[in-house]
Amino acid sequence: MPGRVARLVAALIVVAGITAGCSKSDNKSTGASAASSNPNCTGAPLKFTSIATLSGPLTFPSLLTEAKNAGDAALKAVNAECALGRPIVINVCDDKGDPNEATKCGRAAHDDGSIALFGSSGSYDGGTSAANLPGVLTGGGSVFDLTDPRSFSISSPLTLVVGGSSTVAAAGKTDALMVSIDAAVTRTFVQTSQDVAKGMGIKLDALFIPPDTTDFAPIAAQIAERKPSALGLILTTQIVPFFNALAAEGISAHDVPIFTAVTLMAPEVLHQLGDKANGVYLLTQQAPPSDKDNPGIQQMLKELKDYGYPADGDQLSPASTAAWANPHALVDILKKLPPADIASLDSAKLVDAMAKAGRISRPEIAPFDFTAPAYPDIPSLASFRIFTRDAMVVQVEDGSYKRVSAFADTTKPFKLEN
Amino acid sequence: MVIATEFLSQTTLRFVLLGMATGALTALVALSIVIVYRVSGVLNFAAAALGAVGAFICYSLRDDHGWPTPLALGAGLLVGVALGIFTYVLMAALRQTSLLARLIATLALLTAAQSAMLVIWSNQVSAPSSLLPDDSITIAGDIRITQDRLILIGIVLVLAVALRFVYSGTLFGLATSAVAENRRVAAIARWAPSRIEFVNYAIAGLLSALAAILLAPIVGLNAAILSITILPALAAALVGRFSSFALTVIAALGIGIIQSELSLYQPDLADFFSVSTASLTGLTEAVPLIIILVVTVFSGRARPTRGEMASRLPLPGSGQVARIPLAIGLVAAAVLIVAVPSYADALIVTFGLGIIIASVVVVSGYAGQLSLCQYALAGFGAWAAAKTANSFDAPFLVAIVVGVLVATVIGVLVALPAVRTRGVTLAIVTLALSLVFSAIVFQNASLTGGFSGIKVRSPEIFGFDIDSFEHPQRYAAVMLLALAAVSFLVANIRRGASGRRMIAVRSNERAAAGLGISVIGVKLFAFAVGAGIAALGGILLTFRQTNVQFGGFDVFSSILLVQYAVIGGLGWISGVVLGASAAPGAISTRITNDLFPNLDNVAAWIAIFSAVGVVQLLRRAPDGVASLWAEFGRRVPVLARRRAVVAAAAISESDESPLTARELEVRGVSVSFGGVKAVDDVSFNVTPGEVVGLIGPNGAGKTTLLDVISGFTRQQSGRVLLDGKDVSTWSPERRARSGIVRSWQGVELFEELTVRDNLLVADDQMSTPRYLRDLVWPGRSTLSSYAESVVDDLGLRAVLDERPTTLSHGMIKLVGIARTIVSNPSIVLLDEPAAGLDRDESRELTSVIRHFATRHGVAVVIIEHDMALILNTCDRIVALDFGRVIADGTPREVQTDELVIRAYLGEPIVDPTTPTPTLSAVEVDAS
Repeated sequence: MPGRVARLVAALIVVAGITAGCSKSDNKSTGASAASSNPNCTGAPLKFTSIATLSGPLTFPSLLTEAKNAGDAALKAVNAECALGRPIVINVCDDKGDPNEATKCGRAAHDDGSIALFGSSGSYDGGTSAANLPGVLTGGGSVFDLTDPRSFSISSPLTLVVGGSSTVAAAGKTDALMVSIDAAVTRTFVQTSQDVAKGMGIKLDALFIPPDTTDFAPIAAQIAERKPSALGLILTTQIVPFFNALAAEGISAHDVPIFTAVTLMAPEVLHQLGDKANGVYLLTQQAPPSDKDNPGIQQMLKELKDYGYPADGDQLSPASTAAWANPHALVDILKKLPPADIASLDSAKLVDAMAKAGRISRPEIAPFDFTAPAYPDIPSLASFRIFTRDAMVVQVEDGSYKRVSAFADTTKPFKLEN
Repeated sequence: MVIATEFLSQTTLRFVLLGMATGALTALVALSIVIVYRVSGVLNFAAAALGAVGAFICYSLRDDHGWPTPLALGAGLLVGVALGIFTYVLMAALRQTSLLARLIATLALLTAAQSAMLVIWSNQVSAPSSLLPDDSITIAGDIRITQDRLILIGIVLVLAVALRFVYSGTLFGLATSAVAENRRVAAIARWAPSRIEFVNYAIAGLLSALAAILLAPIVGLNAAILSITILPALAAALVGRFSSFALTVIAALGIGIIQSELSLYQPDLADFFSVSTASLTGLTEAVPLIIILVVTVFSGRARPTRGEMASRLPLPGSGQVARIPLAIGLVAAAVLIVAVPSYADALIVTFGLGIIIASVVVVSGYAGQLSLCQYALAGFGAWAAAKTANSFDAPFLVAIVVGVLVATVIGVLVALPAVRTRGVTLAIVTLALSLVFSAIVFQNASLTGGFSGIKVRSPEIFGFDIDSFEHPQRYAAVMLLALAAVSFLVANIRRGASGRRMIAVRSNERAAAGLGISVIGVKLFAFAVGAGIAALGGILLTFRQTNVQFGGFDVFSSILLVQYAVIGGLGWISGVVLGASAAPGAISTRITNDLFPNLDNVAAWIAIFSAVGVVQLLRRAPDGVASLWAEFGRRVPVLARRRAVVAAAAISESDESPLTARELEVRGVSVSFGGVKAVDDVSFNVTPGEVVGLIGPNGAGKTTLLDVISGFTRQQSGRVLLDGKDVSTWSPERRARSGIVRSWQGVELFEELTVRDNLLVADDQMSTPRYLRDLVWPGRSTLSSYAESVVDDLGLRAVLDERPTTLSHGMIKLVGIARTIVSNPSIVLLDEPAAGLDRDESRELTSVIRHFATRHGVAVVIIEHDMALILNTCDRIVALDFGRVIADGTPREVQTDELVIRAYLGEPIVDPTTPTPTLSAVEVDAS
């Protein structure tokens, strides 16, 4: 009986990672069909497994759908190109929100010849423990992602947490209030955030909300009483009632800069909030699909269109970008290997390849470098396997995401473009 | 300074108002709970969840299908009413079952409704636009609040007044009270109890739906969120004693205000205590609950009052180990572990939960303490073990031992509320404790390792690696062995004297105390053992991971655990595996996933089908599936039992009397209830071997006097002396252990125990080591030679293995007397022993009492309306009227005492021309 709040928190903070793995739309349970549409791309497929929650009472089903589409389009594209000289197969295993199913997925990955967990290692440690495989290009939200020596995360919610202070600084403020649901996980996040903020000369207070809070009016009133210069949010599913309560107190993002992670503000949340969400800063490590000047986004939208998926960038979220970028990033890394190594790639060689890949820069995602953890200078983060310090800020504008900064180091103030 | 004060008061007032608004949300649900409880005694855990269905319908019709608001609102409320009626139909079908069974049925409804909503409307939270105006306004200077909050507060207050009026000022309210009090009597008075209940459930359903419809725009339209409002609502209803609408609303508002103000002043409190604000976060949730806990516990009573009966619980098993089925089960499980490796993980969960459910069997099934915090105790044990393993690099087994011991100690603390509360109140108190554990420990990052959890080593036993991911089958085998060991331990408890005492306490606390059983001791023992067992299960489940986390030990899981226990059989250790199988992640989930690999929402569907299954089960086998197995097993003759009977019969010839002769003296005892003197300066004494009759008309104070002597009522003045020693301040248990033992007007046998066990409860020589010994070696349950002689004297041998419910009234009376006599008394207090006996039985009883007093030198005090029995049995009679002794003498003296005759017949005493009547001619009602 895993914890409801912990589950929700975990699900939300790693949603990018989870969705990044959802590259095969028609195969929710473990399967191993080759995804190559190029008859000339022969040879034993490179097998990976994504463990993700694909069924059950999903919080944001639309995110899953768009991520599936984007991942599928990307996989078809790289296989069509046969960039590695052999097809890539990604088995997506649905843990159904059940720790035992996650363990089963892990065992299946271990037994079916997968050389790594890819994109998402799932919400439960059982999956990663049972798989006993490296994790590559994962979302950086699980204990495995952040601590296992064979884990190479492409993003991390902790980087976004750090980026909160950079956003505060960019907005010209020197203090902020971090409002967070009260759970063991989020307390770690807030503590980290406070450590980083201190280093940047920003006073970051915390206000924890009991996880079973139903009425946010007293919370909003407390926030109003404290008159914060800026407001950071780490919430779960109740973001809409929370914003309604803030609005009732007369607090809006136009007056008080509000920042949170983009994964907490899915398109359906923006739709429900309407004007109330306008101006909210969202931190992300993937460019929004509305950023049509971005060459990576342009390529993503083209591939989506080519393979018959919805390709209106204004209607998609950065979850699409995350899912689409992963197979391409994998190719970028592995293409650096000699063909003979690619032909004989196994888990150990993959780990080696990751560690030696150096800095990978793609226009649609934050650059990363698996050579060494990204935050050796911040004690509370130094031990975590986070490989990028960069994030970007997007702003909500009439129900869509508008990029307002470039990817930049989260430990320094962002340069906002508006 | 003035400005500061004004600001403070404005701010405080503002948060009071906001807190009231939050409380108003809770109050709506609480009122619905109170309505159902008032009429049926059922605690409806599903109230909020069923209301949520109405809210989903309302907003779905309005926002997705374009219905006009009034129509959509009407439809939503109608659905609420329909679900209220559905609940009624369900409860009516379960009317013959225990109250606990009906409570579990509401839990099943909660689970089914929540899961169905998840399947249909997903887990997403939407916030539909409010039906009430929700613009912010400013009142009383600078207090900003939205209009809907004020309206909500108003609605709740109006509702409380309206409900108060309806239920205390109308014929319908009167009828509801009548039905709640006694359905049969209400029916005789031409009320239609079913119709009255039907209407009440419909009103409750309407209220629940209204609550959810009004709540959804504020808290979000989401099954889980709307369902969770049940927790503070229960707390408020508890304060209102499930009967007072006004108190319930006040409590709900009060809880809201306290939480609101605490959250406001949390930073100041943190400063005051020099701790971080974050470390006090759990306080806003915990403090109101702790206040309620304290108030409830202190306003409770150490033991039920006269006439206060415990609600019936499902029958417990016998604790007999059926060797062949057990062997088959163990072999089947072992084969499953070995032959189907993919089932190992699910079996680990099943066995682990089975162990935790075994703790429910001990605490609730045997001891009758309805605890909803066993899962939290499991988590606490796991936390202690993980801390030990992490901090001291302790081996797995050492961590287990420490975790179990720590949880056992905590279990004793948790038991303290159970000393003064019971039944539904205890359920809510333990639920609150569960929430407190969660808020203060499990969600506290500094205690639980935060993001990564608490790191522990991969488990090993004596160097043997049992890592659950590397070797899931090994881990499953260890879990199976642990479950088997726990099952034997629990079965031992049941078969032993400690188990009999638990069931005696669960059956009737007063009667148990009257036999010298330490009710508190039994409860503490049950909770301690239960906590230890739960901790073992929690540790084994959590140590599968090397990063131990505790988020799963939440409140709803604690509630669901009892549901699983009821499926298997609340008092049956043999049912724990079956109960555990229904849990998410257990074997049923595994099988369902294999059978339907493409099924979405497996857990939700299993929950729905489990809930339906639970309801069916409660109808057909309210004592659990295990009771059906046992029924089957009972058809097979049990050799062991026959042996025990023969062996017992063989030793019943002993003449030796184990009893100690003592003298009882009552000196100047007075008792008042309010302004009424029930006992007024009463003095008398009873010497060893003497039989003293206590007579008097109705309300003379006879039973109160017996209550004083036996310690159940404290006198305002005077003393009770045993062999010259003042025992006035002693508890009933201590007096009983010293030889002052009583029988009861209503007999009050322990109905879940056989006649033999009823006698054994009185006959057992208990000590603290005996409780511990019972865990591993309960020994054979045989009556002492003295008890066997009593059995023969009263002709009970033929019914020794029967339950009291199968006996005639006369036989029940004899068993009650036998139980009293068997408990090694020096002073026996008999309260109407002959009531309901026929003339022959009464005559037999006379000789038994006389023989018993003479042979064993026991002093007997007897209240009886059968004057023939009194006159033939007693050496002396003490007559009471209006609490005073009006006569004290031999039967002959009292028989003709003018005052006594006057007390029975009233003024004028007699016609001087007629002969003076004697008491033998008077039909005395001494009830």
